[in-house]
Amino acid sequence: MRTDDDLTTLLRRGFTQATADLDPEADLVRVVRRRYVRARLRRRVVGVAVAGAALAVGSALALTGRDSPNQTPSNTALAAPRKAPVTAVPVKPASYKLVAVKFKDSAPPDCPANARAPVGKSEKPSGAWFFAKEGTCVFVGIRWADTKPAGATPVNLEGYPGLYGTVDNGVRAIYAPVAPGTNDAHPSGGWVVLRMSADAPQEKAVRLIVVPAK
Amino acid sequence: MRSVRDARATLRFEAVSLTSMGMGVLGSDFDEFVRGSSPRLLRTAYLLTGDRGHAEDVVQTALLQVARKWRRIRGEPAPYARRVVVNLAKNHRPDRSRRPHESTATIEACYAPPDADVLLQHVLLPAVMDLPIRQRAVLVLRYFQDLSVEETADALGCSTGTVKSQSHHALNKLREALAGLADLEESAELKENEHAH
Repeated sequence: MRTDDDLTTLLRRGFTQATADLDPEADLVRVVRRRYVRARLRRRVVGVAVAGAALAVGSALALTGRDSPNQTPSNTALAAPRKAPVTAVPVKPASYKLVAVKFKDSAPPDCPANARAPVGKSEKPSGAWFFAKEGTCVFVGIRWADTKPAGATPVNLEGYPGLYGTVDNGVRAIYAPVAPGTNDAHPSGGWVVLRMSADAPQEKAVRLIVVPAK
Repeated sequence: MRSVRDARATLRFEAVSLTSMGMGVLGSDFDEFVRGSSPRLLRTAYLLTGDRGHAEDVVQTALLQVARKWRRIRGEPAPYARRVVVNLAKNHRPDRSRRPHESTATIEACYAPPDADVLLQHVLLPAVMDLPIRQRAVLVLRYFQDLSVEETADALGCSTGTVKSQSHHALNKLREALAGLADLEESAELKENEHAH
């Protein structure tokens, strides 16, 4: 039976042998300095971009008169109280546009752990995510359709007329109309499609991601 | 076209000013620290990760973190660098399934001269690499870096009691792994004696 001293002597010998011919690259100092400077530059650029994005989102929220659930109401919202929700049948056909969320956290299907915003935009797959309640995250795919399915049924949501929806294999799709001439990419109009899990809070998803176009 | 040129010029200006900022914060003492400490840090990282490429990545990233904190730690940067290397190595474990499994049976099959160093390299070190990362880190810090129990606890962010118990468990596991080595050493001695006669 080997004693601890025998073992540690063997270990010291083994460690020394195993690493004897291991040396760092000659220009390590230069490599580290270069990475350090690049990292500082990147942090500075990202800082400017985040500040710009925050300004843009702030403007978008102020313009649409809504406040995010986890933030204190802005001065703009306090100064100009929300209008009463539109419940009457609209005179002109309803049309919607996507909320200008500028955050680009690539998060699906889970929200990023360090996300501070209540809603974020995802590039791949195309969509958005939001926190439904403490600790849970909902991903909503955002697509485009020229026509809605024949089987889609009306979705009743206060202030959001003209929505339709389907539920298929546990996936809910909400169709929000886009009027001709209001979307540069689709001048002849169509439908924004929000796809989410059937048990996801559809009202919150709709209210966070699309707004009625003026 | 002009705006692109302007943007490039701005970026160049930023890079130059940041380089000078970097040079201002990171003096020649940083270079000396990198040159002096990197061989030992690299070897420590190698013993923790078992892969030279990973070890080099770990050391570069650790030195980058040291550079960021240089103003605060320049008085005694080694403990911080060591702690970062250990933490990065812990999170940078290679896929164990890709590492070829070595057993004493293989050693016996390829056993030719009774070379204790070869046995050490083929039995002891694989046994160390099979230890859980925390136990391996304790052994490497205690018996390669020659740190005290207190210094090891500081590097691992745990109590001295934990270091002692982890070291105890690790040595016991090595003892088990090396049980077969005693037989090999005995047979090696026998063969040596046969050759001598």
